[in-house]
Amino acid sequence: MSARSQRDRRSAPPPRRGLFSGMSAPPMDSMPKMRTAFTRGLAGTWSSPVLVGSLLVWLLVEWLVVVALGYPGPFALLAHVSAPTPLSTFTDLSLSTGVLGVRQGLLFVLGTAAVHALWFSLLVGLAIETIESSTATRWGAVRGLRAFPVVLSLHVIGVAVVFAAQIVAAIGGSGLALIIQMAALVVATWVFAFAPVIAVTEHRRLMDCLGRSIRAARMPGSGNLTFAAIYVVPVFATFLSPGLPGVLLDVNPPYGAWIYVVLMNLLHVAIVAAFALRYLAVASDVPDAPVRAAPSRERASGRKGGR
Amino acid sequence: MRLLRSSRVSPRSLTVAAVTVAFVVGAPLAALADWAQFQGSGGHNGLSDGPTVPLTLAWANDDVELDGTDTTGGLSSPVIAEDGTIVVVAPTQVLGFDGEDGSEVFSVERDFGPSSQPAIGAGPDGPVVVYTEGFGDIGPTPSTASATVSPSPSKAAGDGDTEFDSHVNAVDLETGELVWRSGVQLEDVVQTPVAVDGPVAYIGDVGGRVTAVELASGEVLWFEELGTPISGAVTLDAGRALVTTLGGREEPSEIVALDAESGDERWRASAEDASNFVSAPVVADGRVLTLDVIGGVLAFDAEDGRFLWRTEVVNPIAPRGQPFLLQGVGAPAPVSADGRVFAVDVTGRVYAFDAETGAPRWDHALNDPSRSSPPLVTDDHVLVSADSGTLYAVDNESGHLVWEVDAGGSFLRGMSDAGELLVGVRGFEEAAVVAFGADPNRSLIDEPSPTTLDLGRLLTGFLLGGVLVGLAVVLLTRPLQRRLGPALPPATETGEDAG
Repeated sequence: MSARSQRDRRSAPPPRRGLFSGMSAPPMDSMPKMRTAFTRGLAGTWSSPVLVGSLLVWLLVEWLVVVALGYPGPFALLAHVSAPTPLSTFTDLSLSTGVLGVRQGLLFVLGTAAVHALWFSLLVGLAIETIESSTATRWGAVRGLRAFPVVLSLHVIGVAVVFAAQIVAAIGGSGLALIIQMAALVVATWVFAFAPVIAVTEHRRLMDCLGRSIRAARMPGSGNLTFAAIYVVPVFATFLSPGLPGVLLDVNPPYGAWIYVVLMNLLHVAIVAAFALRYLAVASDVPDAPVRAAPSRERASGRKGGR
Repeated sequence: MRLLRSSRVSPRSLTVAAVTVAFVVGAPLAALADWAQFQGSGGHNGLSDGPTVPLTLAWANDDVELDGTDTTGGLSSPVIAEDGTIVVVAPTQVLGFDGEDGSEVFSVERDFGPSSQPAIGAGPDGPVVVYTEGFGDIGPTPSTASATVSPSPSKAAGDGDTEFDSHVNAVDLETGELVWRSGVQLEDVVQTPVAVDGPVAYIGDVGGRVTAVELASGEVLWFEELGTPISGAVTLDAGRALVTTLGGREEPSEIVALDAESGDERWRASAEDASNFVSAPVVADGRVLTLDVIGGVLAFDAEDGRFLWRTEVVNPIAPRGQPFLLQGVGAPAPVSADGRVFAVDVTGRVYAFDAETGAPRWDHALNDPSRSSPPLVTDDHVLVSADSGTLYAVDNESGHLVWEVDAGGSFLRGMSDAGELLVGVRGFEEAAVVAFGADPNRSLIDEPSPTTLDLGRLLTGFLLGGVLVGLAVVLLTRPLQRRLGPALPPATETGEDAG
């Protein structure tokens, strides 16, 4: 092969990839396996008294506040307070409409989303700290506040995703509705799960965090889509299960309902930590944003100047 | 002298005496009072002076045989004749049962159709049962906004008659024979109860037409097109026939007052914030009460239709955020007594409001869906029949649950006051008629609503289910984490402004 042809190949732009084209690639060496990431995330977060204690206090306080505002239940809705968006969006929507009714509740959903974004930001900070140092301290939580604007934006996107999925599902008919909604949740979780982690660890701007999260999610051989699906599908199934504890109108949830809600939140926390570990392990490999092509006039003037 | 004096008693005194005697003699008869139509009377107020709690299952007739190939519609809510006979409509039958023991006393064939509640009125030779039949010319699934859910038979599964139409008919309660020469033709299928007032029956269909039929002859006295489906039974009050219309994309949902004799419109009423009205217009204490699909309880002045108040209930577990639903033949309806208005939503949550202002008084979450019929109200209690087959009694004043009794099967509905008994039906394809009687030897319970905060119970649940689980999780995973160590070294901040 001649030197010229080698040079041509290097300078050629990489072939454009489809959304799911990375799925057929061989596994990345640097990406922790799903089981490893989950185990490390679970062990790191569940063993932290600060994190578990904070979770319990948050759940109790939030429950008392919403009950004081007139929410009659079900308590099981709090099971997804600690989930990444758009899974937690259902809690935002249901709490606001459950307190204020459908009409006013939809207007107030951003208020609920802001409160939950605050909690999730603290949680991401604590989860990252457990990944990095095996412990969680209040400084980890404070550090997590960096992610607040990104997480709040994700909550807004989550509301849009849920509504869009419902509209598309309504058009698609009842047979497809479930699949469309589930697919929307999986894809949104997949592409945005890393954004809060990036915001905390890399101090990037909002759009940069979102873009980098998407690029990290799509890295060939990362298995991120599979990981998101394995997480989201069973959680989505709990939304449809009628026999779970705490699904009735009751402001004094029995211990069974508390066990369910606490364990579900702990599961979400472990997953958040697993996402953090998976991102941090490959952060240096995430491609930078493609440089935007210069506007044609500038290109033209550049060519003219070059002559 | 005395005799002479007594012979001089004025006609007015005689009238008073006669009324007094009639009242005294009639009192025991009142205990056997008839429940001739939906919610007891033309006003559909659901007031019952029947047995009080504690109640027990007096009898159940589980041997009701439904004819035809499609029996998913089950039995309609019952009506009770003056002699105590219980009458229900089945998909292809009109059935009568003995009020004493529930044994079947008559069965009359009926064209296949929704099991809409019949009514008992005064026919030419005694009481007649007026009922609707057939599926009209629009098929079995009318395209109303939300009127779909309850099991309703399908046209295809009927007896194969391709010339199906929708009509009203009447049978003599004594002889079981048809009263009119032919049924009264209707324009559309009927999924709401028949109402009667004196010599006239009133029927609203899903096409939005109200038809008044003379009971003696079966002649149509008048009909009125209202444009959108009729949501509940026509209500008769002070010479007016009150109708709720469901509304459509262009048409608002309204209460329309028609002259009961001529059908001429007297007034129309709606409310700005209201959604689709899904209940009959219930008349109580000079107010017309109705429910809308997004949880509104509304009151209008019965005289002129002036809007009085609307209170919206919020129930996070109501399907699609709609606490009150039109469920085929099972429509909800509010009830009112002693300055309070009561309503029960589809999840079995009972609400009480101030009748003057609409201000909420209390609520009680039974957590047992009640989708198929409205509640009854007695002097002290609201009686709610639930899909689980339980009959609940909630105290009017406190909102506490004071009694519950099992009917021995699911989908209990249509409780009707039969004097010493409360009669209802349960099941659909495996239908039964059940009756409850007073059981004074039992003592009442007193349970507040689970939606009332009880800090002790809440904290106990939190400590047992939250704190203990949290503690166990931390203790169990600490050794694992100690062995694994940190997953990564501290992150290097690589961002744009990371310094």
